Amino acid sequence: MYGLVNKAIKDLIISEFGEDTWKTIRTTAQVPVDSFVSMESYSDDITHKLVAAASDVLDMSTDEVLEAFGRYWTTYTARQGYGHYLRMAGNNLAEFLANLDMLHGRVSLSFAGLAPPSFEVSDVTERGLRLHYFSHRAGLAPLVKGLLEGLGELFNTAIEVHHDRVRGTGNNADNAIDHDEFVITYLTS
Amino acid sequence: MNAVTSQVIGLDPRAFATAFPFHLVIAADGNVIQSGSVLGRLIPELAECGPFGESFAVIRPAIEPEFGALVARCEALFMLRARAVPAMMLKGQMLLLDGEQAMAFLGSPWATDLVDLEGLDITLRDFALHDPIADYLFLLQTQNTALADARRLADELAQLNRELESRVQERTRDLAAAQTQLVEASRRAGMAEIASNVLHNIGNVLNSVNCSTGQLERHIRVSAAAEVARLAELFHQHQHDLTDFLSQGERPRQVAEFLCALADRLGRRERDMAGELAYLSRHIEHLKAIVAVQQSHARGAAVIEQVAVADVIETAFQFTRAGPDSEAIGVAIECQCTVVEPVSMDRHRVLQVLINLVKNAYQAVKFAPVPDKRITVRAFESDPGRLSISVADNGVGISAENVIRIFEHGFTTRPDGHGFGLHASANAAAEMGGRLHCRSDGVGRGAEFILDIPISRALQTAA
Repeated sequence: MYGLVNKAIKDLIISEFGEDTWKTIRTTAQVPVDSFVSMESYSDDITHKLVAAASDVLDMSTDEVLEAFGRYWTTYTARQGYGHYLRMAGNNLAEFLANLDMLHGRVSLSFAGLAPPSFEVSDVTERGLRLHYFSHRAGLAPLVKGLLEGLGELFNTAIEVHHDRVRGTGNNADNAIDHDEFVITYLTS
Repeated sequence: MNAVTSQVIGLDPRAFATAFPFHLVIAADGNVIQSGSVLGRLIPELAECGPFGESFAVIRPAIEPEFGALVARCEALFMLRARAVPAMMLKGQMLLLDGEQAMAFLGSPWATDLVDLEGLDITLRDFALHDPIADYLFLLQTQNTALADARRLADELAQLNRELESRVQERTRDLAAAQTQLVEASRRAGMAEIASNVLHNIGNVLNSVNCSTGQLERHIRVSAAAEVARLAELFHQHQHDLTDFLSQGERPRQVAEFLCALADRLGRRERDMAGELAYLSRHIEHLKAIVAVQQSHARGAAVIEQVAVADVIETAFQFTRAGPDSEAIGVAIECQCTVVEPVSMDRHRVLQVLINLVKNAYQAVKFAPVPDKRITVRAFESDPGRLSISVADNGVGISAENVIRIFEHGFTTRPDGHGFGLHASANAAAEMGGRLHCRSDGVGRGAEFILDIPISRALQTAA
């Protein structure tokens, strides 16, 4: 995972809970690094440790931490200079999600060492769409859920996100699905 | 060549439009007859197939936006600016089509920062997937982010550096304070050492002063006045027949003998007392000298005088002569001085050292169970310009381990000793540019102290 992710976690914790809480979490996680370099590739282990420690210290479930982080991610990357890039990726939520895979593809082109996830959009209607999420990392679906909610806020679109199909589930091991699926429904007032 | 089929495959208009969403086709009459879908969306007037020059300015190469000029420079890198969207710069190349009847421009919007494309209503989807412009912009953004990162890290480093610097300053202040305390403490220790040294030397002299005044007191106590008074009383009783009284029988002889004896005794006592007074004034002179030496210390200068070495040695013995029991213990003193001519030296310092050495030698022989107690002093020029004065005794001696420590401040083996004398003497020797060292074959086998100092005869008068 690249340093930007760890930096975003740090930034989120400091802005919401203060510098001391961050120090406690970092100490709990036994992560010696404090200054993450955005475009440096770090071991996934560091991110997992930070999330686990944040869950302990803040008395939140890991899923809640990841969701909160996902919601924060969009505004964070926009602030880190990728706002124009995000804006260029679509004029509305549906357009943005349709471009999401291309966006991650381009990111992987520029950073060969990184393994970003892959996305696919299906069942596009006026009321919503279905987003398929493929990743070699397990357990980050709550982050994607938070991310989608954050994108809804970015595009001023009220949405409901439903984690419709969970990776690894199924009737038996043979037909267990290999990815997560989210159903996004636009809420009309 | 043969791997390729003979059939040549080009792009049909639909594929062409997909591959080049920002393209233009200019006819020989100078009109734009076709445009890419995104460019058409951004510049609606292109649908009217108007003249190329009305919609675009050619920034590079520097030519007029005319068909002939475009053909002439079709090998060049082209940069166009849309008049309707001045914020957008298109970068690309010209391609001759249809036997030079038409010219195609293939390119896409150029920017060095995503901000440049802000407000142009272009999304990433508008770029053909094969077009690396979007990736280029992403890379640029990433580079900016990395630079911002580097700046942030540099700031953090600078902050840490400042903190470190202030901590170093704090520690330096602490150190300076500790240093000041240390200097003060060592200054006090130095003052205490100087004071004990001065007191020691003054104590030595006062001892002699005490003996001299004791002698004088004894002389005065045994008064001759009573005998003179008895004679005067006799004369007074016989004032009317003094001549008869004095001339009777043995009286003339007796009176004469009495007066002679009295005169002799008074004369002897006067000489003794004069001698003691001479000692006393010499002691006082020495006390003055000790004070003068301290004052010269304070000024950092030594008083160099021309002196006879034998005189200095003799003076040292005179000072210690009156030491406790010195005569009673019966010590044989032997003195050999081969340095006859006067030499230049700091007389009072040398004297102080010698007084300490002679006193110590007395003490050493006093407690030694030897029948022939002996102190031998030798003065000689060990090297040209170097004077050695050795004070040797056959007294109690010094153990090997004590020979090493004997010049330490506060070191003493005598119950009444303070350990100042030899320490101060060694310091004085060093201050004169020389050294004081000690030899002993061990306990019960005597000891020898050698003062070794530089001397000169430069002040000796030539005449």
